[in-house]
Parts: sequence; C-alpha cells; structure tokens
Amino acid sequence: MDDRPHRSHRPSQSGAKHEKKEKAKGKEKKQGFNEKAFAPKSGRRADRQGRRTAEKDQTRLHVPLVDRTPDEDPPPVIVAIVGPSGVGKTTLLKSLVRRYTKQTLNEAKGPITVVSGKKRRLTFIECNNDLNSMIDIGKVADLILLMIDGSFGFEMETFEFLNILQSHGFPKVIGILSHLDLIKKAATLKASKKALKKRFWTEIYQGAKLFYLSGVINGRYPDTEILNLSRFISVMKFRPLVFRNSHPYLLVDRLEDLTSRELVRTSKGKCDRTVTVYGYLRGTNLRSGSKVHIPGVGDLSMKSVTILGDPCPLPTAESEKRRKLSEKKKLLIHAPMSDVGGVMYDKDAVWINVPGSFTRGNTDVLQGEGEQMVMDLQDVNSTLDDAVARSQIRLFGSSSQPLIVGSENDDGSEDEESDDEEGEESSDEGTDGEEPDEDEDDDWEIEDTPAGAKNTGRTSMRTGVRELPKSNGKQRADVEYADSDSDLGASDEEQELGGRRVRFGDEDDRNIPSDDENGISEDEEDDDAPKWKSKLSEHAQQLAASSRKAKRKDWTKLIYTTTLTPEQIINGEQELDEEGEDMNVDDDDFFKIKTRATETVDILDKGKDDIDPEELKKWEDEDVLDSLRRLFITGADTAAAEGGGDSEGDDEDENRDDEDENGSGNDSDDGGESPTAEDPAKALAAKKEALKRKFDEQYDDPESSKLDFYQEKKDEIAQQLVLNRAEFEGLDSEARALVEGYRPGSYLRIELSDVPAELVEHFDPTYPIIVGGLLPAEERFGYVQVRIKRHRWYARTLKNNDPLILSLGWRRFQTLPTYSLDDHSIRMRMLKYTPEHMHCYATFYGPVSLPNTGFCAFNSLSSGTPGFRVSATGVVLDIDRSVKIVKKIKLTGVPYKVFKNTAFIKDMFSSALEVAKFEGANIRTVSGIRGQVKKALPKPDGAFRATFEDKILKSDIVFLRAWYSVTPRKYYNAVTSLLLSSKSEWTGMRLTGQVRRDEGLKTPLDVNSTYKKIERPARKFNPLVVPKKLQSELPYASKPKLTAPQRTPTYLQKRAVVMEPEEKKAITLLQQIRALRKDQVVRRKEKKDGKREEKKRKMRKEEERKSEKEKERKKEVMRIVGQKSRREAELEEGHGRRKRSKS
Amino acid sequence: MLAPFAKKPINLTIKGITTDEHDLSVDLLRTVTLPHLQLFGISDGLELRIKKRGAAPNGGGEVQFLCPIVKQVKTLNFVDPGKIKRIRGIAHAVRVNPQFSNRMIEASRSVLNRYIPDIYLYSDVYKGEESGKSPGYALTLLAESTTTALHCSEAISEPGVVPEDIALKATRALLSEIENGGCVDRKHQSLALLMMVLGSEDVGRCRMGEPTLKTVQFLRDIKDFFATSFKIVPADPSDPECKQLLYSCYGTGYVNANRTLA
Repeated sequence: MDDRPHRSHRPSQSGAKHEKKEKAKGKEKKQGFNEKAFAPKSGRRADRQGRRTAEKDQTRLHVPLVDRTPDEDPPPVIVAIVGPSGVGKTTLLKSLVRRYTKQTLNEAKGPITVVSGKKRRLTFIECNNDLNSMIDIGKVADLILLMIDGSFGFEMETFEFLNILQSHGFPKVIGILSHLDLIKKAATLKASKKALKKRFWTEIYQGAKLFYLSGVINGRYPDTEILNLSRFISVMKFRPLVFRNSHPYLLVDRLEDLTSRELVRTSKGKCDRTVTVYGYLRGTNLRSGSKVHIPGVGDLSMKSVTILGDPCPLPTAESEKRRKLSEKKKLLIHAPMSDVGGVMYDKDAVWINVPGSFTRGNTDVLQGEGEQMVMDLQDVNSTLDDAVARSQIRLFGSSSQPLIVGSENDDGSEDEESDDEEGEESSDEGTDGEEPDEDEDDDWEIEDTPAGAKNTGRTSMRTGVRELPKSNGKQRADVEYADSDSDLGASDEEQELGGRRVRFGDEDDRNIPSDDENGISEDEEDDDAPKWKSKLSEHAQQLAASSRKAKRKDWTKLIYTTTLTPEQIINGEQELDEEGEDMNVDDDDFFKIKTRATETVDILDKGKDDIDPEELKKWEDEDVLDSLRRLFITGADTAAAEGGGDSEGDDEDENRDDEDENGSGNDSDDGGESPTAEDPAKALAAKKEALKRKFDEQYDDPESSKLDFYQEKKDEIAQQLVLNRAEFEGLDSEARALVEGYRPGSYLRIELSDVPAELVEHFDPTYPIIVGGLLPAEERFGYVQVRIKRHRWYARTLKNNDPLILSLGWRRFQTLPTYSLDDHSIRMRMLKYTPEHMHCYATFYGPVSLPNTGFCAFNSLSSGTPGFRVSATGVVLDIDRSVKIVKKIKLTGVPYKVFKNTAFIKDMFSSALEVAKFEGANIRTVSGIRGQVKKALPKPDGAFRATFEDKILKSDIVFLRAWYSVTPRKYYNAVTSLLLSSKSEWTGMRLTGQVRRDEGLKTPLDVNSTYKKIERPARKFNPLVVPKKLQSELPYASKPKLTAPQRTPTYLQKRAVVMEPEEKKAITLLQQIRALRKDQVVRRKEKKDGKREEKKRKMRKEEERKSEKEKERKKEVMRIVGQKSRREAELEEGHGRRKRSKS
Repeated sequence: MLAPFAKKPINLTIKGITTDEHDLSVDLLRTVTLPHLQLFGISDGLELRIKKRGAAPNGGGEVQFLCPIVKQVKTLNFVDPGKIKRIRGIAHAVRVNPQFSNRMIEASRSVLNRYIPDIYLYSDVYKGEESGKSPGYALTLLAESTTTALHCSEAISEPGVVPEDIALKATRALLSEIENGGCVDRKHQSLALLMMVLGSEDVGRCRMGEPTLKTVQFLRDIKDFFATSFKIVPADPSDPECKQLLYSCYGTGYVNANRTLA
C-alpha cells in the first residue's frame, strides 16, 4: 500500500468549479494587497503606536551579562523550596523527587540531585524556617518554589525572604499555594486565590507564576499537578546574577570529617578538624589558592581540591539519540544526606536499613553475607596498630629473619599516615640520585598505583570513615597521576585512608615497603632498589633523549614544573636538563640555594635588557637586512599590501614567516610572487571582492549595516565565550585546572583544614552548608561605606552604633555601623538615628566587598522576634573609608571681663596650647553676636582674648562650634549559626539595656543626670540708697525724690458730687441700656449652650455606633489569630507524631 | 602597573634621571608603554609629560604622569602581529651639540630607509633649565604595525662613541626586535602578561616572542601570586621553525575594589 505513489491532484481546467476557484483567487489576491489594512487612520494614533512599540522594544532589553555556566555539563540547577513551617515543603519535595526518580524518600534531608532531562539536572533543597537558612539559600538558589498557605495567606517570613532575595540578586521565583483543600466554599476559594495572586504579583512582578496545589493524596500532592510544575521547572530560563557570576560556590551535599580519631580522642573532640566537603561547583572557576567562606562558620582555607567523578551524571551521547530520557537515567539520584536506597549517611556513621527485625546475635534469622561482614567488623577488639605490631613481615621469601617493628610505632596513627605514596616518594628523592625526569616519573606512578592494589592492605573498616560506593574508587584511578611535587594526589590519598593503612606488598617486587619509620634498615632498601630503578632511569633517559630531538621546547613545562633557573631556560639548556636536575638532586640542597643567592645579588633590577653587541653584528650584513623586508608593508606581497594591508596578505606572510627565518634573502621575493603565479584568476576575484566590499561600505546606508549597541555587546560576549571554550579544549584536566582553575559543573571534593569541631559535632543536614569562594579583595578587612535605608516595614528607627547583623556577600556578621549624612558636600555628618524614608550613609568595620554589592540588615535573627525582621537594605559604595565622619561639638565659655568689643573668656579651653590651635576660630554668643578667638591669656589657664562685632554682656555664654571626627568601632562578629547545637539561637552582642534586662541589673543612676526642679527666684532689686551727705550736695534735679506716702485722704477723695438732673437722666439711661445688653448676652449664651449640648448628644451616639463596629472587627481578627495558633499547635503535635513514627 | 587600580586618578610628578642604560627611558614609556596600556582599555587621560630631561649621572629631569582608574581591564586578544607600517623615533640631546641628534637621525635613516618610506625621526633638543644637569643624548625608535603592535629600541650616549654608532646600535636593536616578532615588544612582555592575568574571567591571548629572563621569572611569580599559569604554545604549530609563542591565560577577574561608587 505504502510504496504505491498517490495520484497527484489535477485541478479542474474548466467548468463551474474552475470559475469559482478563479474568482476566489482574485479575491484573495485583492485582500493581500490592501495597503490600507494596517495603516493607522490618524496621525496621533500612528504616533502613539510608534511610541508604544519603541517602548516595548526598550523594556525587552536588559544589560548584557556574561553567562559563565558551561554549555556542556552545566552544574545542576538549585531549586529551593521555601516557606513557613507546616505549609507542605517536605511533601512537595518528596513528590517532586518521586516524579523524577520514582523513589519515595522517607527522610528528605540536604540537597537532592536528580536528572531531569537530557541537558538538565536539578538539585532540590528544602529550606527550613530559620532566617539564617533563608539568607544562605537566597544567595545560591537559581529557582525558588515559594510555598504559601492558601488557607491562611502570606506570612511575615515570606515577605522577609523576598526582601532578602531582593538585596542579593533576585533569582526566579515560582509561588505555590498549598492547603487549598481546606477552603470549602468555591467562592471563598476563588476570592482568596485572586487576593493572594494580586499581592504576589505586586511583590514579584505582574504576571509572576503562581501554582495551586490541592490536597494531599498518599502523602504526596496529586501527580498531575506535580507533573505540570515539573514541566515549568524544566523550561525555566535563568538570567545570570552578577554576584554569582563573579564568585565560585558550592552547595555542599556531603560532609566528612577526616581528622584522625586519635587526635579527636585525645582532645576530647575539641580539636580543629580537617573536613572534606563535596558538591557541584557553580558560578565561576575555582582556583585552588583562594580562600573560601562558609556562611555560619567563617573563612577557611582550602587544603586541596580534587575533581571527582560525577555522582549523578547527565545522560551520555549514546542515550542522547533518544528523544526522551531513558528510564534508567531517570532513577539517578544523588542525595547523600537522605536515605536513598536504604543507606543513610549521618555525621559519623553509615546506617544501613535492614528489612525485618534484626538483632545482633539472633542466629535463627538467616544472615546475609554483608550483614555477617559488618558484624565481624564490629567484633574486632584490637586496633590495626596492634595487629601490625604483632605481625611479622618478611621481605623476601628467602630472608630468614622477619622485620622487627620498631618502637617508633607507638605514637599511633601519624606514623602510618605517611606510610603511603608520599612517604615513599620523598624518601626516594632524598636517598637515590637517580630520580628520573618528571614525566617518566608520572608514567611510573600510573602503572604502579592502580586503585585496587593500594587497598589490599586494608583488613578492617574504620567506623568513622565512609566512602561513596563507586565514585571514589573509580575516580582514584584517573586522578592519581599527579607528579610528586604537586602534592595534590598524594595528600588526597593520605587523607582518604585516614591514617590506618599499612601495605603488605611482598608478592610484587615493585611494592617495596620503603618506609623507614617502620624500621626497615637502609642497606636492605639500597640493595633492592637499583634492580628496577636503574633500569627505569636508563630507559627514561633514552626516551627523553629521543623525544627531545623531535620536540621543541615545551615552555609551559619548562617554566612551571622544572627547577631550572630562568637563565638556563632561556639559553636552551634542555640537553642539560636532566643532568642539571640530577646534579641538583645529588648536590646538597643547601649548597645549591647558596650559589643561586650569590648569583641574584649581582643582577641589577633593570627595566630593559642589555643589547648584545654580538647579536647586532649580524645586521651589518646586507642580506640579513634584506631578509627582514617581508615584515614591512612595503616589503612582501605587493599586491596584497597595496590593497590596504589586507589580512589575507598578512596571513600568508605569517605562514611563510618561518621559512624565511633562515635568512636567505631571495625568499621574500619568492613568497610575494607565489600566490599570483599559482592562481591569477583567484587573486583577481579576491581583489574584486575587496573592492566591492569597499564600495558597499561607502555607498550603502551606514545605518543598515551597523548593529545597534545592544546587539554589538551581545555579540562581543558571545564571541568571547566561544573563544573561552575553544582555547583550552584539548588540554588534559590537570593542565586545565592549572591554567583556568576548576570549572563550574564539576563535582569537587574540597578539603578544609582547621574547621571548628562544632561544625561536625552539631551537624544538621537540614541546614544548608554553602562554600562560597572569595575574591582576593574580599579576604581583607577594613572600613566599608554603604548606602543604607531603613526598611519601611521595620517598626523602629536604627540607632547609631547599635549592633546590626548584615548579610553581605557570602557573609553574615554583626557589626557596629555609624550613620552619616552628606552635609552640603562639605562634610559627612554623623547621625544619631537613621532618617525616615531616606537613604543615608553608614560606615562599619568588616570584610571588604566590591562596590555595588547589595546587602540586607537585621537587628535580630531569632524567630522569637516579633514583627518584620529585615531592618535595612542597601548597597556598598566604597571600601577603605576615605571620608571622615564628624560630629558637632560646641565648646562653651563665659566672659570674665568685657571691654568695648573685646572680652576675656575663660572655661572654654584648659590650656594655652589648645587656644593656640583655635586662634582665629569663629565664636558666637547665645544672643547671636559673632566674634573671633584672638590670643591666649597668661593668667587663668585656657583663657583667651576675643573680639566681637558688638559689646557682649557679662552674662552671655560664648560658644565655639567645632567638628569632631568619629571613627567607627572595629567590631566584627561572624554569625556562626552552623556551629551551634540549636542553630536558630545565635546571639551576638546585645545592647546594654538588653544585657541589664537579662542580668537583672538596674541602670546606674548618675547623680548629675537626675532631673531636679528648676528654681528661678524672682530677681530682687535693692533700693538705691544715696548717702545723705551726698544728697545734700547734689543739685535738685539729681536728688532722689523720695516722699512719704499720703496718710490723710485727699481733697478729691473727700468731696461729694451732686449731679444736675439732666446729667442724672443721661446716666440712668446708660445704665438701663447696659442692663438690657447684659440680659441679651445671657439669653444668647443659653441658647448656644443648648445647641452645643444637642450636638454633643448626637456625636456620642455616632461614637457608640462606631465602637460597635470596631469591636466586631477586632473579634474577627482575634478569631483568625486563634485559628492560626491552634493550627500551629496541631502541627507541632503532628510533627511529634510523625517523628515518633519515623524512629 | 598599579596606577590604574588606585582609588583616584593619579597625577604624579617625578624628578630625577629620565634616560639611563638600565631602565626604559621616558620617551619609550610615553610612546610605547602607554599605548600598551591602551590595549587593555586604560586610555582616557593617560599621559606622560616630559617637562625636563635629565641624563644619567646627575639627572635633574622632571616628568608628569597622569593615569586614569579603571574598574576592570579589558581582555586582550591580540594574535595578529601585522606588518610594520611606520617607524617613529626621537633623538634627543641635552647639554651637547644639537647637531648630535641630527647626526643620529642621519645614521639611522641610512639603515631604515630601505624598508619603508614612512619614517619620521624627531630631533628633540632641550635647552637651558629644561635640559637637566648632565650632558647626554639618545635615540629611541619604535615601529608600529598595521595592527598597532609596537616594537621599540633605544640606545643612549656612551663616552667616546660617536653618535652615528649609537644610532646604528639603536637601529639594529630595533631590527632584532622586529625580527623577534609578536604583538608585544620584548621589554613589555611582563606588562602585557600581568594585565592579561588581571583581566576578566575570560581567555586572553597574545602572540609574543620567546620569553626573556625577566618574563620567565615573572611568570613564576604570577603563578605564586595569582595561582594562575599561562598556556604557552607555538603560535604556528604547523611550522617547526616558528619561534613566536602564543600566551593564553584565564583572567583572574580582578576588579578594582578601591574605586568609589557614585
């Protein structure tokens, strides 16, 4: 059926159908050519439309950022599930894990990595409700599933978390509403969904994705809803965030303690630990020399970094052919802290879940082989040390005496630690002079130390050390090529074994136990060694000699891995290379250093090298001079050069470059002609092409060919990325790590030394551990100036010098900020409190971070704090504070002698020296008379002469306004929340008042600070008494005229008044009028009072109605609060129940 | 090397010897070193003004150095050395016969004229107060390629040697520099390498001649200091005789943290 071709359609050539078709064709065409269709009808609308499209174009644009995640093998995307407690985070995590891997986790702790698609892996992590965890997660998560209880609404933590995200670069957020099944009424459900969505959109952006999850079925969310969610996750695109794009970081998914048990035992677990952390590297490349910060722990230095095999690899090319992810790959999951596959790692043991009831010594239940082995291990009474001490080793089958284990063996594990590769290596180098060259050394190592061979000595398993089943072992084989001077591999090996390793390599003659510590005598080893070593070195030398002839200098190797001096390298002493090195090894090390030192002393530090006259001699020769012609634009390929120095010509020239090097003069001419001779037509075509391009450039519209700035930048970035990828493509991984560091996406094992013991002891997998790489500048401490604004939801103002917890960069720390404001660009003036609704500056002592880094601040991180906890947000402006902060200070003094415009002023300074410093300073009285400090006076210390613009009173107070510079206090306290047993209860420095309250102390009361009643007695002026004698001499005008008070009534008082009848009449009339008026006023007032009374009554009524309403409202609120608390209580119970059932 | 990463733009006046046999003279610093910095995006306001010259024993010269600050240096990708398109030079003479500089120019031109017509050698005679405390003269030469790669050389006066010989010495040194090839002059290798290491976290590439003594030590120092090493491969793998090398490295992403924002 299929192979037979279908008959082709034959349209009718005539008839009705044909005519109809013809007609339709014409119509269609007509429609297509309607030029009016999309033309705007009015000019105004056209304008508006144009502006709208332009605006849309502009909003589409973002600042072009470089995305540094590698295309092949990108690190897993971190998907964090965040929300208040009891909202269903764990359920969602389990559902998602089940969706991707078909495995049900009982306990989902720590990061869980799964393969979600052919190109994408996801790391899920649940964030608990602790603010510290939320901060840390916000800094690393790529996608956040923000869970909101639909039946309750938003909680404070959600808003806090969003604000934290905002200040640390906003990752993608998907909102998820859960507990929607608790709302029974459909209308309420719809309304609450709408309200929540509206609020969510205002918080994130209009149109942010919000998911709805209905009830829980079988302890999981409905499969279809989870499937939809996972689809959204898989198509999510991520925009690079600036901070993460400039820092390497790891989300730790596994943590191991490598400290020797003995050390832990002797120090009772208090010693600093050596810890390895594992995780996918994200962000930028990690260089092995840099420092790292673990938020909640502190700054740590990396002892070593190793790339491990990917525990959860992406599907390979072989399965890539399929469109869908294969079922096998789907099952991949990497979650070392959870209980995947019945094995659970916790901080110092591995738990294996055995089905059924299992008790030790229960012989009637059949035991598997594995269980038997574990039990055997548990039965071992003596340590390996003892076993070694007891055992006798014979080196050769023929040797009669067994080796005697020396007494040095007493001090436990440390001896044996150096018992492996490194020890052997170093002893070899020290004793034999025939150490072969580096690369031969490498070869030897690789064939000698397969992973399996090394582990033969192991007889018992340590309880403390766990290894991931396969990945480590496999990895060992391809990592272990490190040469002896980079101690990477060796130390790695050493740690991995944890110091309980002894090798019994007697069957293979290569595995000589050359450990001096174990008491093998030197001569025995010497006898043995040459057998193979001499052969090897001979072989190596032959190899080297043959290869060197063919190869040219490998500069990278010469410079970085040999011990040759620069002189030797330059002078091309590659032949001497081995001998030189051998001699170096042969010679006493000290001697060698000495000679080199004497050499360097003589060399002057010069900017340019001396010109070698011998070398210049050759330029006297004309031929040699001519040989250089090709390097000039006039010299070589004339055709190409005249065309404007085209790149083609250059390329050709470069290729010939080296043939010409020999110095044969005719070469250049020859080279110039060859392309034209070969193919004149081609050259002509090329020339034409160039001319055409030139023409086009000149005459075409320059706008059309030019890209806009945005596109240009994007192209530039893309080009650079391509170059980045291409440059180191061919290099092996070791060299790559050397040149560019460890690339993001690789699974790393980082060994950290001097880690506080508490991290291991109080390890809790539900709290995320992040290893953040620090830039070189960020390791420093100094003053940092930031722009800060108190959060408008934070209830109180922030006070100067109050401790504040900042989350800045990777770090969380407490510090004492000093707030300031720019005062007319003259000075930075200290503020006592942060201003309302305004930015101000703050300066604090702390770790330096790059300008433009955002931060958020908290007064307290504890969950018991009521209200909104994010107290301020801001951005770093400047490090190493160069601006001085000043505060105003007023010095006061009083005049003790006043002349006309001059006054002597005391009590302002305490010595003449101080006065001298302030000479010429402006002073002022309280009443506003301005003046100047002139000169110190000798008599009372610190008094000075001052002049004013007017005469001042003696009672005036004179003050001098000055500025006192303030230095922020050097206080830095890292929030070490991960080191606590109860992680959310970190407390830093408390306020004095808080300390007093906690300690039950009373505030000390200074006598001078108590307020007393201010008494201002009325001023009493004494009568002026002029002596009688003086009075008598005074002229009359100046005499005080003091007369005694009148005793008898005066005439005016005594006389009686008799009025005229008319006068009487008038007065009566006036009185009557006044009486009438009075009466009127009284009546009016009565009326007014009545009205007021009535109004009052009305108001009271109104008030009553209002209060009734208020009461109703309050009742409603309280009901909701009660509901919440009840639910929380229930939850608490539920948690308890669940936990019990788990254990 | 440090100036672009300071907190504020630098305006520095330095007094002393401007030309001697050990270090690059101010002429070369001005005409070659500063253009090298421009490759890395340090350009606006980068200037070296020679106010007075001072020859070797007593000095007495004065230069003013202006340098802007940058946030981050640009990644260098400079693999095409191009061809020499012009040669410039400065012959200066202080407290000696001004004719000396002309004689140097004559001698130098006698060698260089065969290559290229675009040769300008300036005669720069400082007199009186501006000429420092000691007599001396020198010739500095630089060759610029079509891709703005610069090569330079200089020779300064020696007692008992005629100016023509000095000029020939400088010229031949320039020729050997040109022959050595690459995009960056031998004397500026370490400068270019340092700026490459300090660049953003991208791959920077530069084609240069074989490393000098100083460069080798410098590369080792860089490895100690930045934990970064260079990949050094022959620029032209197909050609066994090619002596030029391609230096590439992954920048450390150094950002000038001292720069004040706003």
